[in-house]
Amino acid sequence: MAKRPPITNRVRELREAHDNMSQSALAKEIGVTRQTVIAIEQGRYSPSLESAFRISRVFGVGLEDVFGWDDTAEK
Amino acid sequence: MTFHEKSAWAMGILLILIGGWYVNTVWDISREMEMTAPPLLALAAVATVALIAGAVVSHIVIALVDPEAAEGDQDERDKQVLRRSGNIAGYFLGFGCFAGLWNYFWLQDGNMLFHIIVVSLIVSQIAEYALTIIFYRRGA
Repeated sequence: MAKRPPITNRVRELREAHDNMSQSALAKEIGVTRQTVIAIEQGRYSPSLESAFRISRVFGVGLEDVFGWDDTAEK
Repeated sequence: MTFHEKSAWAMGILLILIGGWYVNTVWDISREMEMTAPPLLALAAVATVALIAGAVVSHIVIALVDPEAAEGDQDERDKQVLRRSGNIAGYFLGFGCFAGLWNYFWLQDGNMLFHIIVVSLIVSQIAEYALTIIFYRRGA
């Protein structure tokens, strides 16, 4: 199994808190495909810094409110 | 499943079938001739036309099933996956070319060199499609 990036995210949680925004709508907002949003939510893909900023701006929160670093994943 | 993953499935299956048929035919002819078959233009042409026709038909079907995905450009994840799978597949092609050159160096069989290069192209392309699918599913 490929090693997952040690980056956690709250994209799904924030999306649901945002009037249950659909994955497609978020994907459109940040300029990626719906499959990429799914991969981000599942932790299979770490977005570029630009997309990370776009996601945080869509939800009106800071970058670290969306993404975090999982210290346990590196041990 | 992304458009590119669907495309990789279609092209991978097509190439396994058509490439397998091509290699099997060359193998049979070589056995009948009891020597390495020369490059067969007609056979290569049939395989190429079949591959192009199959690619066109399969991509039309994929686009009809999900037109929105077919219209979109590659996003950052697509680019990362395709770049990585293409990069690794290049090693398969390089290894095959190297093996072909060494084979020619020792045996002086130009026909064999031709077939080794063609097989390397087929294998590296199949590897690229397989890796694309793996990276989409498991993460690049």
